[in-house]
Amino acid sequence: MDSDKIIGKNGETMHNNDNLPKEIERLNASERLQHIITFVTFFILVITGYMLKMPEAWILKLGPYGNLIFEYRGLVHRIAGVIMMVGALDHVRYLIFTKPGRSFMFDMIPTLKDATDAIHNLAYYFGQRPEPPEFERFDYREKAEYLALVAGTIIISVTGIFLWSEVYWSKFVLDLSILIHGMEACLATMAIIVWHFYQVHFKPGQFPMSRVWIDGKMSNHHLKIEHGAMYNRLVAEGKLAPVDEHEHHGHGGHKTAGSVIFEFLTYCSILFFIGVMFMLGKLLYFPTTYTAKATTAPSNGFDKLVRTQETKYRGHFHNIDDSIHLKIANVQFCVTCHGTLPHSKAPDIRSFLNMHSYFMACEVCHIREENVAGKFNYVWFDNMTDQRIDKIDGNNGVYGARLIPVLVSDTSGGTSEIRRMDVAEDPNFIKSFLAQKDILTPEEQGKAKVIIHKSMAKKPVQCTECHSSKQPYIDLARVGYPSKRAESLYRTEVADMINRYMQFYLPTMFDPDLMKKQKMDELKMENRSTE
Amino acid sequence: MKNHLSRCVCLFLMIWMVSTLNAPSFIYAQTPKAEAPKADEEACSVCHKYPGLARIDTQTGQSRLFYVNQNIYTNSVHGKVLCRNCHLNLDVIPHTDAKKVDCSTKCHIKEPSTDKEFSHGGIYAEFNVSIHGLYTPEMTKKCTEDLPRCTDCHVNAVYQPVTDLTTMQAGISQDALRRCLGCHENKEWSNRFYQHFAHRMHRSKTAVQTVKLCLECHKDEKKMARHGLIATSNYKDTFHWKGVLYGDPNMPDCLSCHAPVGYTVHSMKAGIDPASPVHKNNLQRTCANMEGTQECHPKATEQFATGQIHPTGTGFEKSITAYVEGEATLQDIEGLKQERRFRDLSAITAEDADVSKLTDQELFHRKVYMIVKYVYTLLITVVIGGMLIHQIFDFTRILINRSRHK
Repeated sequence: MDSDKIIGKNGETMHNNDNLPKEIERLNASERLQHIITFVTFFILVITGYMLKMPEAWILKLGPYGNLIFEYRGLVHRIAGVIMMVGALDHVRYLIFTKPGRSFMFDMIPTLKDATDAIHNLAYYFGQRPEPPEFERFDYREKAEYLALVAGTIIISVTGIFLWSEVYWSKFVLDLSILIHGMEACLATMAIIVWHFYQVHFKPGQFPMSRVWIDGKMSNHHLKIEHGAMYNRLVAEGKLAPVDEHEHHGHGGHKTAGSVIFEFLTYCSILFFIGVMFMLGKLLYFPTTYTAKATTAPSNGFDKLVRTQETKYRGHFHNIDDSIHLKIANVQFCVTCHGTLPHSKAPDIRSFLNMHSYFMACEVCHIREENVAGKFNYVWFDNMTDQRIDKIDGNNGVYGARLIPVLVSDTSGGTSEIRRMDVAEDPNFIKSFLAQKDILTPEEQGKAKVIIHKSMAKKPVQCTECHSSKQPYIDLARVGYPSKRAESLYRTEVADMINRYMQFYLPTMFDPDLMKKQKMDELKMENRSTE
Repeated sequence: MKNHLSRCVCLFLMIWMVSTLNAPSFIYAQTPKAEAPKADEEACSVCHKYPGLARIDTQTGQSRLFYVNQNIYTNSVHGKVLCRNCHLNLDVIPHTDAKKVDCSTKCHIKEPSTDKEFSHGGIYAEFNVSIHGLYTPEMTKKCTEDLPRCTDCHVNAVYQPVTDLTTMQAGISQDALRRCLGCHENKEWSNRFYQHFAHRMHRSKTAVQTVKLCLECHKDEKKMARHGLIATSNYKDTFHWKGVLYGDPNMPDCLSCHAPVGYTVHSMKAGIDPASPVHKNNLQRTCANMEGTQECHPKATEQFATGQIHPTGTGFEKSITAYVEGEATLQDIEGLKQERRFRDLSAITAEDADVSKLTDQELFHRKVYMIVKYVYTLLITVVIGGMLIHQIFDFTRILINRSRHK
């Protein structure tokens, strides 16, 4: 009994068997509709389902839209699931209550021939048999796939219903359901790609796509190759025109622009599905474990997406902002060794000294003008571009620029040459020192350091030398500070602060080492931490 | 139910009232810079306004930052508190005698409902006897340096009042503030009072931030092992976490279950304590979360609320106990884990079950779960592998045939 209706092609002239059709209806309208419903819901379910298994970084990229997407994800997944289940039940109705359905079911039942077919086909692949076996309406591949689909649909529907009605089940049932639902989905997705897509898309001869699912028709030529037994039977029964060997049975000799684009897309889809297979394999065999120490913090900045507060210095009680990070494009050697917070010796003033290094080069204080032959100018250089700038913006030391002494030496001809004092005179020496530091003896290291630091003043510029109205070391107003600010640095705010400091600590103020020693002794005497 | 609904409606209306059509503006813009130094009557900012005011602690090697951003501070919940109210003993400059800030001390701000000096002391005392606190009747807590301090979880939160119900962006609703200003002429006061109120109408941390915060300690295997605990491993495998990750405000983070309505974060108890929301007797209620803004599993059955959501009994408890006793090293645990990655089945024995406090039934469940997992993995491997090989043969055969044809 055969349900495949044989239809004729009207108006075509045929060489022989004029009245016999040249193609069969492989899938009838109902089956085609069922196929469409199945694959549409399948893809929706796969996409919305695997959205829960996406890498965290991808999810975080969704930012504020994530919530909405998540809400619809669940809804769409459930709707698609219900449609799929209804479709499956309708398929059962189709199988039992319709004639073509019953025929479909009987043809789909696995037989002994399928087992021998499979073996013979493999033997053919290995070159042990000259021809592949002749298949009936459904070959062993199609039967296997159909049965897997039936089993998979049952398993995934049952576990899905368990998960949907979660409150009535124990955690054990739910845990198992989650596991099986996910595993079955993984199996189904991979099987569809490897088994079904190869068969109907990627296989040479089908590429880029078999059109059976659209019009349901299969030519006698195609039928002879893929379902030889059925072809022979139909021809013998006189229901199908035999293949005319002289006729050309290619896929249309000319390529339209559309078919080229479609082929290209199919090639892309091969790459895409290889990627999908890779991801699924990773998910299956190497799931992300979250016990590892450093993996939990989403590193790509959910913080920045959501709230401004989050860009602040994390974990500090006072919500420190980003300005504490000094950004300098070309770091000089001082910073390479000493860091951006270099001062640590004098307990009372080290933080103040560090604060100055945010807006001035070390050389401002550590090279004294009188020790150098030539004239010093103090100039602002942009931290990022190293360009000289005349005006500074910002406040509290955050100018994006630093004050750097430049040596102006007159050369012959009245032109003057400018040298930035923070740039090492002999960078190669420092580089080679840094490279070999570990193999040098302490004495050699000491000697090298003396050479490197030879221009540094023994006694650097002291606080009151600048912050004083009597002949300040640097003319702050000339350097670029607004006169009011310069005034405050000389006299009012800052100088006053320093004066208060001096009243408490005057005796040691000018000698950091002595001050430190005294302080340590004092702390030790009081049995307090020396920190 | 009805009560709950009306409460929701109330909250909604309240937020709606305060919300506005004004474009949300950022907080900093609200306070002109000239206002900023008001709180700074001690002139601390003369020095502490410099971001560079910092040093490296020579003993610990960590940087110590002394910078305070005045604009942020004045807009924070503590913005009216003077520096010296928290940082005691700052009488001399330089501050050599400064004490570490103790949040439980009395504050010089009067609490308007009682007219007494305000203090976090009460909540600190509550915290102190919780699982995270120092105090136990026997004072037997080990490795006390691991325990969280106030500032490990709390920062000086910047006011984030609600302006818009849907976007939850921070800002001040000028429209709502206008109503206050009708009677309360002091604009600065009204502003602050408004923020004081509105700030509390949404959570200070997003769920992702909360999870991150808790995991900072609870994912640290070493730290957890010191206290006989297992690092939380599987929250991130749950549907709960996926929802949180997508930004669903109603999905549960750690606190939704461990400190739901009726419990406070500061009095967290061990799971075996009957006063804990995750104690087995309270679980059903916790899962239902009927009092919460969001009812989670309102129809949760008794059966649903069984089992351990953070499973133990993976056979590591013994090693962890040994580690705490000093008989095993972390490498041993790590090694065991590597070894057992593919052998979980054999790893669970009755012996382990004793340590992990699993009942026979739970042990059975675990075994079934493991078997299903391995069988399925094997099934997928065999089926997909077989299919792949089949198709590769098919493909090569077609290619061979074609080349012969030509």
